[in-house]
Amino acid sequence: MIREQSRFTINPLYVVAVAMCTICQYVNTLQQGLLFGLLTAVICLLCTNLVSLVEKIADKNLRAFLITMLTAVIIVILEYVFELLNWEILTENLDSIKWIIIAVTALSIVPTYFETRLTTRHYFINMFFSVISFFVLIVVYSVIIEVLGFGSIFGYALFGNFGGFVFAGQLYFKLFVIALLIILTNFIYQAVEDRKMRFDLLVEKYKLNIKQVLNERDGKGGTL
Amino acid sequence: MANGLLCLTLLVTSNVMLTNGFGALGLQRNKSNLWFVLYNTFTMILVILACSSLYALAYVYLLIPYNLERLGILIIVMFSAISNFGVLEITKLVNKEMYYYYDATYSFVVNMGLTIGIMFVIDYSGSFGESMVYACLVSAAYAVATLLFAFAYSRMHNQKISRIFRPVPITILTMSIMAMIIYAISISI
Repeated sequence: MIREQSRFTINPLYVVAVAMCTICQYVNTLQQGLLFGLLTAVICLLCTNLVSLVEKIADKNLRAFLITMLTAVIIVILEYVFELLNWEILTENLDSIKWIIIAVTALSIVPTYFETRLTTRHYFINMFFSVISFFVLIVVYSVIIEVLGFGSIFGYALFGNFGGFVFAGQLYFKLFVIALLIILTNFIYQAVEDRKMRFDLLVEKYKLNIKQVLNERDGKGGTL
Repeated sequence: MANGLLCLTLLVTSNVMLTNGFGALGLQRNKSNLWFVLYNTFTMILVILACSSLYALAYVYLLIPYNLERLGILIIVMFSAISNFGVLEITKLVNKEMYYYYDATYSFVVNMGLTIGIMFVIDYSGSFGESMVYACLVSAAYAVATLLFAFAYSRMHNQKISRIFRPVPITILTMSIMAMIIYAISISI
């Protein structure tokens, strides 16, 4: 029953792709990838789990609004904290972290619109996998962009004087990298889903076979 | 004229195209209904203009005098949520078919995210009039991008395309190619 409830009715990778699209313009290095990935992941988990507490009294649209509002509040607080801390990596990205609001709104669509009547634990587990896949993909994406765009990784030059390709910093290339990453992960995801489906069909087939054998042995009264 | 075109192409190339990526989720359902696409685009433009004008006023008379610019994010989220709730309720009252499409394509959350994204793009540091011109340009860019994609949506659902590619990955690939073309046009201008 739990497995039936927690199965996605939308491919979660598409949501991850859309979330990545909204922040990809501001992620050019691995540092930025880690910062944006971590912030999005933590805020998304926190907000969706908090809003899951009012799941029974708020409809899906209201829950989506509450998640967005909570995220906005956290982002405003973070902006003040980052300003106070005055670290270079944080102050550099001070004006762009607001885009995390849209990434979180996109990621929260899965539990808000496709998972109804679930407990906080289910929300957490479902969101955890979405958020982890988002984090891994954004880190891989930022590594590709930094290596191709700057010829370095974490600020360390990889290929001597090679300063990177100009096109790697352009929007079209970033979208292209996201599309390729999503196609690759979707290939793996679909293969796993197909395997799961084949396994479920096999189990059903064996159940029918056992039922048939029992019926033949005990007459028509045999049950599984 | 050339400046306006350059501005439009740059806007389409940069953030509007990105925020439009958010709308790729709508591809999961019946986004290919042209009347719904037109209705949704029209309501979105109204919402963007209304929210931008209200926010521009709040920015000039409330946020700057009291040095509360950082709280602008909260006001943007509030305005976009309220206006999209308004559109949802009006659609429910006026046209049941449009409401069905609105609900089936998760348009509330998609439009709310889009409104927030588009309002982030608009520069409010100038006067009220400048902000509104900017808002009009962004709305136009949004409409152009949405309508361009609307005609491609039905083709992206083609069964001949491998299911690994459709519909969101191929949409992002199309966005990438469109961004490349628009970038090339903006450079040549």
